[in-house]
Amino acid sequence: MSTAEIIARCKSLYDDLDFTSAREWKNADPKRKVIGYMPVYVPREIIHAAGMLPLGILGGGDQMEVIHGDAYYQSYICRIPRSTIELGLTKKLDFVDGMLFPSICDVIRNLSGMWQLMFPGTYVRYFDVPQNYQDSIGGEYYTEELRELKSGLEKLGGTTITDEALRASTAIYNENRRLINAVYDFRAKQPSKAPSVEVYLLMRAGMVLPVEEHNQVLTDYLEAAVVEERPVRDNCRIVINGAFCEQPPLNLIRSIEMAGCYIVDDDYMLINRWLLEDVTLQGDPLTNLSDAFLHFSADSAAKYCDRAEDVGQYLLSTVKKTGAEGVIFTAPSFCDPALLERPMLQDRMDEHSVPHISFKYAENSGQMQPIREQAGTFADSIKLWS
Amino acid sequence: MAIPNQTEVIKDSSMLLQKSMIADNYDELTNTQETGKKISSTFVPGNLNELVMCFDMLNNLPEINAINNGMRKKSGAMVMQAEKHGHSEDVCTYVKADIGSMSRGNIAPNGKPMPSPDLLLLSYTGCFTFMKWFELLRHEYGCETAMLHVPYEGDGIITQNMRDYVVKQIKEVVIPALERVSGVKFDIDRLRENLTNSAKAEDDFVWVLESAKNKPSPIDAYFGGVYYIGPIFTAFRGTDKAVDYYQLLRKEIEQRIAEGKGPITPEGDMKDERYRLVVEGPPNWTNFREFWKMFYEDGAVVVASTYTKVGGVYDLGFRHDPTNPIETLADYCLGCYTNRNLSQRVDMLEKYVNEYQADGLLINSIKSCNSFSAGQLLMMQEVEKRTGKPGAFIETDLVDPRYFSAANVKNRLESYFQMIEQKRQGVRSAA
Repeated sequence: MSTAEIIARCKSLYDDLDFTSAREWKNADPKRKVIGYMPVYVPREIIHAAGMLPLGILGGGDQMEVIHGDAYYQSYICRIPRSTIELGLTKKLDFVDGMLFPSICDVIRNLSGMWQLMFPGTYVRYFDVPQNYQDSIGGEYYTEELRELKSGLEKLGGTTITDEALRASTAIYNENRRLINAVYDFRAKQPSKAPSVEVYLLMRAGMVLPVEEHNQVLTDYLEAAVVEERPVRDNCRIVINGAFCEQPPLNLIRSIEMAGCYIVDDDYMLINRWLLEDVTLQGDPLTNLSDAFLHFSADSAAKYCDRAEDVGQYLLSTVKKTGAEGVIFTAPSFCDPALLERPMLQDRMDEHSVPHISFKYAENSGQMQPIREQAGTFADSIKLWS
Repeated sequence: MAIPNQTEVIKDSSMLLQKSMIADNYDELTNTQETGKKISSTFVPGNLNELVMCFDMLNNLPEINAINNGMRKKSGAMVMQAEKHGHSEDVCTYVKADIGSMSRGNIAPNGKPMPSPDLLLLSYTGCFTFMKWFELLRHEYGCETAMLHVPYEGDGIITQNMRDYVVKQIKEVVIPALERVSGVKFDIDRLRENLTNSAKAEDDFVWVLESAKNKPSPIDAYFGGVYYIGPIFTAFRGTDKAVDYYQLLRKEIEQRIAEGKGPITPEGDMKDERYRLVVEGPPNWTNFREFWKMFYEDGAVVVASTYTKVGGVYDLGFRHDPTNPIETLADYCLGCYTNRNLSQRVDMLEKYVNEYQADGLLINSIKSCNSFSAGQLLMMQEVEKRTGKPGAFIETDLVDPRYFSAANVKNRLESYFQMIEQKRQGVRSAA
């Protein structure tokens, strides 16, 4: 299968706001349940172990007209909750049995309460994670939270989630993370062979497909991309930061690359790469997930950084590891975590002479010319002066 | 009797007492070079004042400083200063006023420079922004930070796991940090004494809040309420001074009820109570007097508000409990208003509208504060549906004067009051 065929399939999944593939998965067996989740991170292993489909809900993108959703939010609130409400009210999520709202910001947190009030038949959980990373404090708390999630899903599904099932699911997600990292590594090494729009669509496919199927898609893509010849552009190499929740429109990603910037790393859909190492399969599976979260997880503005000297180090290490020449801070408008953290990250980049620019977007941003000009000027300045 | 001129503000004795308490506190904060006292910076929701006092430390609250700067018309320039330094126009203006104030010398209301904190006590309760705010402050001050993560009541309950998590953090993270910075050993009996004082003040505070069930209400529970919450939400909870303040306040209100008086306003006693409102959301601080006047000049009194629960929800029964000193601090933090889920918040508003015999719910939606604001339109719909009373929505900001449009707010309020009148006429016609 060629990359074009694979990406065409991923694109059709991306465009399908009726979530047909997830509906079909559910309709194949009346016992099946679908659990939606929002950014940044939930332990999909537990959902999978319950025999349920984890479904990433990342807003409505730029193809959906938001009518009802706007009636629930003031003008100064970001777009993702509006379009998510729109998805709910237009019955595009009527097959979803449960929704998880991770701890990321006050808007998503409060959306969990709105969902409870608006869709009373749905299993709704605000998924809190610890901001204390000590095993005996945050670890114990988080392990118990995972138990509560497990118990909630067991009740919903009328099933028992065994340790064996959890270990098997963890193994599959370990494989998924390895393949995703392989795609990211491949792009960092040869960005001309893995355009960022393609990598993005591959990752989005993982939000709606069963993980086993996604693993196959990733394997197929890697095999095809390696042998495919593509023109190499005189682009600079940049890292995208701040887009971990509301997603940019595809055109924005394409515009950045067309303006002369190869994206060699990003924080879109961080859930795919949140756990940085394989989760251990021996011992208690929930404790293992908790350990991985505490000690081997990615960084984002949704996390508290315990030590001042560590702020921005994750981004800096990404820049170094991928050989990036600059950072584009691109956050959704009104995104509190990303925009509050940005000045600290910018200072860290300045300390290490890493060039950077910043702009904002919304998931339905339409005008790409200003972004193309800004990114193009940034690319030129890197090529000329860095 | 001297008649006050238009600019002279009428104040009750409790207001004057509070003013002197606050002034003394700022003097203490700005004199630490002489006294050697250490300063802990912390937030109003989840404020652990009883614990901080056990270490002879002073409690400085950046939100309160931002409010002070807002009321003194200084915050606008501070916000813009922070924006010039790269802070987004989209984020919380308390944060930007605080950061902008630092770059202007961090001058306290007494005109003296505020010393840098010795400890940033990040009690992360009910607002995600707090977490990044203190990371930003740490970035500026470079001082020790102790983090207390308080889980959110997503399902509307405090589980044992949540409580245990907070208790452990207080014991193993917060207290050791306070000991380390202050050099004072923790004494649990001292904490118990402070908590005993807190509970006494809380009893009187709740009595004052509930006095608004009278008709006419002797208090305004929003504009007046921000004065009443002053000591208990800030550096005085757990002190003898706070106990005395609330006793004095209670006597004043008892007197008002006995005399059939309405609330005190900056222009004297409110004469004619025409509308009784419940208000959700914080007030605007940059135009506080102007905003308040829009209510009292039309005879609108706020009989209950949620902002006065942001630093602790006492009227639903919680009291600091000296017999379980650490656990009670955990329950306090977990129970603050914005740490409660939307269903709980709607339940509270419904209860207030009914029990305080309000004419409706007014939401002052604050651009800066997603913790309060996200979901408020749905909350309004729910409360309207459950109570049959009309709701209204206005938008302002905390300390950014660019977001206070007096004409818009006034128009909306006047329309709302007309709506209430029409609703009353409809009820009378139906009867």
